Amino acid sequence: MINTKWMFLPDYYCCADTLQKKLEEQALKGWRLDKFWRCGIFVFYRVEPQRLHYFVDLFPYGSDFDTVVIGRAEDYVSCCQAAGWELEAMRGRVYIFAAEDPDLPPIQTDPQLRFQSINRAMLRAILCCVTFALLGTAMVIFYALDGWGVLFNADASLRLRLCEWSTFVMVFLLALLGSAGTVSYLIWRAVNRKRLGREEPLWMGGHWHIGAVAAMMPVIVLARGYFVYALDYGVFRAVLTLLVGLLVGLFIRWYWFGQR
Amino acid sequence: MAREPLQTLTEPMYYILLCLTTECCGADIMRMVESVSHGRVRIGPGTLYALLQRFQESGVIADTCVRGRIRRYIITDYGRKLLDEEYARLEAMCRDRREFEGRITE
Repeated sequence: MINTKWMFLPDYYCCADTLQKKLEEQALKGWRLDKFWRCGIFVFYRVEPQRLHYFVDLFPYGSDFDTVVIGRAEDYVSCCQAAGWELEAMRGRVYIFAAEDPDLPPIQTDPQLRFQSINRAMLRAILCCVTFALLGTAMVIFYALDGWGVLFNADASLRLRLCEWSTFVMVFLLALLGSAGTVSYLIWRAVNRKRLGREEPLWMGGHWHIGAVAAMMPVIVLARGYFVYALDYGVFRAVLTLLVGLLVGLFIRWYWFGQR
Repeated sequence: MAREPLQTLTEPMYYILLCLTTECCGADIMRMVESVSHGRVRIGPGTLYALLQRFQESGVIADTCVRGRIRRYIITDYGRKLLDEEYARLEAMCRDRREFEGRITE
């Protein structure tokens, strides 16, 4: 019997309510949250089906690179425990709590403050999205003004055209993802500012994957780099380099974060 | 006109600072706020930590000690000044209302 399940769920702070609902559905089906990564991958383990209530919170003192509960977070978690909430999983500043009692006081009692904390935490990812959207769009315009480079030039060599196409696809995807992230953030911000003005609860719905979008950007740049490398030096050497890169990355991750 | 941050304390801010006139940890603050306000004001741990961070950044409160997982805080002189100013403001508002209602009944 399979005892572990992986799912791709809306991952960002502004989708907290959607995420809570999805986690509660999984608990009812007998899957309890084990851990998650910021690119939206959630890992569950099998338990008896149960009715659980989740709360996705943002720890203001935290860093985006936190992988364990340490320092002030320990105090924060024990405070939540005193209020009846048990920590299920955490990564970066995102802490996911669960409780069986549906009448527990919420972890966040001030919507204005919650909006400000989330807005502040989102700025880094949004800045990344805006930069890629602007740079990507500018480069697509540059391509168009330049007569699309050698993209459609049959006289150019195949290698040159493949390189040019890979660059164009990369730039286009970055512009698209960056714009999608920026627009979704602006909608979230505008809706909630209006709701706060009318003293209505915050809107934390939606199915956006801004974290996943931000995480995909370096992947696209790296993929394009390896594609061009493979064109020059062959697929075998490119795969070998990729494996070495992955090993070095894993070692750095273990050395830097695993020992904390 | 936009207000400067912490120029006027919100209700949860006021009660947290009031509790921090004695050294407290996070769980103590939550319990004390509820009891001091006779159950009228309840502060969730997420809100509490967001406010503690804001207070620390503005020099309104300070860490005193860390014992195991528990961290304790206390109000600073600047924080006490803010709390006193807020108390004086609220008192003036109550006095003004009493005077106004007294004038109407006369």
